[in-house]
Amino acid sequence: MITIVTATITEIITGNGSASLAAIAIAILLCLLALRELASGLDDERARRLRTTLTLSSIPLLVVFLAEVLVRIVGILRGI
Amino acid sequence: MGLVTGEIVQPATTRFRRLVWVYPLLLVIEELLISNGYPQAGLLLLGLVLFLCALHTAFSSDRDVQRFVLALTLVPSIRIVSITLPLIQLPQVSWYPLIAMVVLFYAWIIANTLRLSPGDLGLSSGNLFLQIMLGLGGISIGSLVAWMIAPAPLLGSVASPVFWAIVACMLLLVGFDEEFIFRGLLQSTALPVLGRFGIPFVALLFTILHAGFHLVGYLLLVLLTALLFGYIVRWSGSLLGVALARGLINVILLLGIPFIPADMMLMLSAGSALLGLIALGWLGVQQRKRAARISEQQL
Repeated sequence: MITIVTATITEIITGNGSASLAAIAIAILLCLLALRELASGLDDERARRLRTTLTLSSIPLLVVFLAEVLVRIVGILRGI
Repeated sequence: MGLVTGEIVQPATTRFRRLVWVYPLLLVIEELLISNGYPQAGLLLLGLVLFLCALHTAFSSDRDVQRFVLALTLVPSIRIVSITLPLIQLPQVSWYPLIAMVVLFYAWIIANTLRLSPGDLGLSSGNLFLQIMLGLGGISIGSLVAWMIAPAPLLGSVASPVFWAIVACMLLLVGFDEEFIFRGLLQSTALPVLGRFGIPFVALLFTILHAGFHLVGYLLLVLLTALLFGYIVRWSGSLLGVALARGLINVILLLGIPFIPADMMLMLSAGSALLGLIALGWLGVQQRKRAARISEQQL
């Protein structure tokens, strides 16, 4: 019962599609944030719950986004 | 609601409660897509699962369902983080703690949002001696899994300067992280919604995230271990033993196997299996006494 990230992580991270995966993750983040903004226009209990869940769900994606930006910046600085 | 109670009360089933069974189905499809070379499609499906979770929480008026589905967002998030964090330039051995830290951070936010107490999450030592015995039982499970899947070791030598730091990290962070999420957060929120099906449901989710190995025997072992860990946490009220066991399993699988001689491994496994079985028997007796006490009080 190996750690659950192991099952897929090695072949995915070392594979060719890792850049497109980051792009998809950022697109999902943008969709969640856009839906959150749409929900904030409504003023009932359901919309409030929807907003809360969408905000929380976007946290891991936000971390991925920030890590991607950091890696790009480091890459650019190394190139200078 | 604490983890330790006499018996699990079966809640009334509603449409929104039954809907939670859709998530394992979607996650099976996602894991199959990812492990069969379609990670982009799998990732899109994970995004859809997150969106469905948000809708489910919004439209269900049942507070227990809202709490459980919010906790369920952890499952797709684990997979999203593990396949999209840009880790390629770092050594593989550092991926596990980095992913574990991000996921643990998110789990901590969810636990705070749901206002779960340390008792709800199993964050107590319980009977320390019993928990350590249960934890050591992980060595035997680790060697059984190693025999089944024979994973490649992460480090080539014990003399590596980071070896012991990684052992400590696997033991303390990676094992605890996943047990905190599955046996702590998810299990404590699943029980009020699914009653006696709560522990099997969480064990099923845990097994689905191992589907990438494509080995039926291994998946069956994961399911049985997840069920066992679920009931251990339920009966003992502590995550300590199962977190230690998970840490030891990871250490044996990813770091230890090539450096431990086969005959020594066999002795260690037999000893730890014996310890684990004694601890389980002890826990069973304690649980039976507790159940008898509760039924006496009810009479």
